Amino acid sequence: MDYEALRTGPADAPYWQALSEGRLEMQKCQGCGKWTWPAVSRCGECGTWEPEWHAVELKGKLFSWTRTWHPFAGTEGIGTPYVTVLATLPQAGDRRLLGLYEGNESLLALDLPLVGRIATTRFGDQDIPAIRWLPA
Amino acid sequence: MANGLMGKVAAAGVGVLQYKRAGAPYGERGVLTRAIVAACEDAGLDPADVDGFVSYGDDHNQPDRLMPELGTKELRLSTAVWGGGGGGLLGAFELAAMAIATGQCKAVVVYRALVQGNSGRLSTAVMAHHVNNHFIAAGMMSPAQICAMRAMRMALQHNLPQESIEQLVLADYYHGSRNPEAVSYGQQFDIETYRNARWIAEPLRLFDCSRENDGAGAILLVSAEHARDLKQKPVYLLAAAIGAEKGWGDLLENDDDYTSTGFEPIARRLWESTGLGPKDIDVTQLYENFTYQGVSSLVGHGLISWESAVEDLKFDNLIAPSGKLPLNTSGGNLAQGFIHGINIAIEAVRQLRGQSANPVPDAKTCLVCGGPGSPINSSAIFANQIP
Repeated sequence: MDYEALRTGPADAPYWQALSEGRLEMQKCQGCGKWTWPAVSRCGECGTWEPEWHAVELKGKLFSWTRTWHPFAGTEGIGTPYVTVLATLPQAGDRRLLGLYEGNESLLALDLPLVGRIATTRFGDQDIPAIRWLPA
Repeated sequence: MANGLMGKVAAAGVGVLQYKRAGAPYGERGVLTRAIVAACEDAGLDPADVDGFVSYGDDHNQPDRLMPELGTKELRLSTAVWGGGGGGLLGAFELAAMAIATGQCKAVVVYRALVQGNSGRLSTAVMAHHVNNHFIAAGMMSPAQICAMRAMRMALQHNLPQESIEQLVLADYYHGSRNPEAVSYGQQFDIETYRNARWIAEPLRLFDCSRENDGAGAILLVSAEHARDLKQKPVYLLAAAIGAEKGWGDLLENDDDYTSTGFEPIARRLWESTGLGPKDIDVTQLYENFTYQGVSSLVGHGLISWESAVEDLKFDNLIAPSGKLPLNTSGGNLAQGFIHGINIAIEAVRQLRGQSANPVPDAKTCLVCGGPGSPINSSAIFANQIP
């Protein structure tokens, strides 16, 4: 990982770098222990600069979901209808991450235990590193 | 809490031109210029004397470019509210009122213009601020989808039934059907059409979403004393507030209270600065970009609670003249027309002048709530007398 480049990029650059290498990493402040998301360059709670990045297991709980039917521009590579979930990550201070859902749609309910895998999403002509959530 | 604005500034004129989407006979600036001139004629003030201009939500019409056609003598305030959506609507009134109350300006126009093909759609403007790879990697690229994700949580967490959402839609279309300026004027709204409309993103169907019109709207603000010398009955601004509190904003869906629309601190400031409360509001104009967000905005202002929503959200309760919680008396964004919310502020003025197509008897106060899908929100209270 090119840490020098990541430091001068947006605060969430290490997230994308890790995801593209097949890992989930999130930010936890070494000053106050708070998980910060969205990524920041300074912890607004305690003032510590450059909170550290930590590997996080891809386990979560369903916080909300929506099934998209309208073919919004750019989503042709996903193909409607598709389900997006917002997952809470208990091991990362209950911070939430979005992802496409794979699995039995009749199970969709609040607090459904989820596991994630890392993939890419085709959006327009780009392949973006992404999380897929499925029932645990 | 000090309120240096209370009753200092009044809306003296309103102007609006509205067309079907892609139906405007002029370019965006042409439509806007006509709306501003109409607002000035409504008030009886020479457009050349307008010295301040405030817009919001990425309006593209810079005031200096309006000067030649308005004959502007001197431009003293040229600004817009940050943020990509209708959340800035009442923040624009706050800025205009601050300029007038402090003597920086004498006559300020708050405006919004939208002509398809000139400046693009609001969803594009919202996207530019808000939607990034974190969203699109999950297939989320529009405000409708983000609001749908939030609406689903509202429905599940608060046991909010679809039947309650429908009541808001029915009230909007009832008012719109009786308003000659509304896109739905004279139309019988069929609830089955609503229920069977195609899904956009669950739980939102087509008619849960506001659909844009071409048009422009303008409201002329002057000092309260000045307004009393002009043609129309003054409609005073009692308070306006914009902002967001810690735990709310552009947070990649990590807002502390995900079923909120962020209005709690705004409403608190309105009540503290006016001494009024939800029970003192006679009529409400609600920015319902999406139906569920409109309901959450009512909760955020304390007009209803999640627990009372099913009971409060009844068609008979939401309509003029007899409902206890009359709202969107012009038809709102859903049924009057959607020029990024400016219509609902104009309806507040008309309602308090007694010029609404759906008058609320003896209405003295009107709450206007800005775009609830935005990370930054704003609201205001207008009144036809200073309490």
